[in-house]
Amino acid sequence: MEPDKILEYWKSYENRLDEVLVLHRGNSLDITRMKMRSMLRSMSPVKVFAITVGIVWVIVVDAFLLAVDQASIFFLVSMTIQSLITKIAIGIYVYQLVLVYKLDVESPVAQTQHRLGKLANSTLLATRILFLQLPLWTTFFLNSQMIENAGSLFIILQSAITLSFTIAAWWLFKNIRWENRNKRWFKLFFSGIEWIPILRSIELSREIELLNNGIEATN
Amino acid sequence: MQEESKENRFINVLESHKGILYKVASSFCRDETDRDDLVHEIIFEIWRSLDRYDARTKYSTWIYRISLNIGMSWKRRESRRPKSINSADKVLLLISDGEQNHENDTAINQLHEFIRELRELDRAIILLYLEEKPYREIATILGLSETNISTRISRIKTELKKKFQHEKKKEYGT
Repeated sequence: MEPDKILEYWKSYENRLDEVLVLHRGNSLDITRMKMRSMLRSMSPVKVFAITVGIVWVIVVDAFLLAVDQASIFFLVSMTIQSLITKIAIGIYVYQLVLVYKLDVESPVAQTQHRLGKLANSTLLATRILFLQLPLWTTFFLNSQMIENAGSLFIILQSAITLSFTIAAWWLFKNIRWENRNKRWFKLFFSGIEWIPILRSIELSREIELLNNGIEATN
Repeated sequence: MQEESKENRFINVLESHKGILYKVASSFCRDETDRDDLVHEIIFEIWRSLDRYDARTKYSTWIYRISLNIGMSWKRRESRRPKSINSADKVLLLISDGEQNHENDTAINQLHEFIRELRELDRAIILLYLEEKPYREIATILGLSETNISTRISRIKTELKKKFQHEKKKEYGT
């Protein structure tokens, strides 16, 4: 095909399509009914699973925290914060599912895709927030008696581990951003198939932002 | 009664704009089954959105927006999309048997292939350009400025030209 003739070829393709393309009217409405039923199936299964497990976990932890009479202060504080962090993440995921369902696909393409990109970015935000709980898993089992009876080696080791996890959690919270997507550690965390549409969506959203700011994105 | 007229309206809209559905789906899908799946998703969204349709917008503009938005989102999800269930026998758009111009088919298939290799936004822009939509209308559908559209089209055409030239060299073994 000659590049200068692509409009010509497309026109002839279009004319032929007008002649041969047939709409199966009977199936049109059947398809809309089937799609309505399959909508839930089309939601991200991993996300739905994560929300379900998260809700069950939070209910169990909160119920336990309310029911327990005597518990170490380390346990109470660690699990209360952990429960709060999980609730925030669940809230973000549920908010996303609602927004995706209500998304206005009739809006101009750039606007819709930009909104989807922002939604996708909030998935990264939820992940960042979830990592903040890392240090809590090094402290929830402690109690005053353990610390009083422990030797200095245990205290040094415990402090070092908790500090390391705190630094790691903070570092991940600061650095899990789309801008770092080409870094090796980022690819290690976010290489699953669930992440591909999210990262692509953010990429398109950024491209649109650049376009709207008058900057042509380069490959 | 109101429900019935919505159904009639829905079918009439699809009938009048079936070409858009087919062309957008072909731009995002090589495989026939995938194309049918995408068409199903698009018409489902058209059905859901029909009550909100604003008559100040042309139907073609409205359908292009829905189709391209669904097409782009659908394409991103292709790595984890569940196979459609129960819709395999519910084909919506059919190509009736007829005389085919084989030479043009090869050329069009090649053009479709090159379009599918473009980035999502570029794919939408070139499709609307090939449909001979004025830049203003393309800008309205996509929500970008006419300047951006014009610059992008120029770049895409250069990219397509390179692809065709490369293909020609391969064909002639140079």
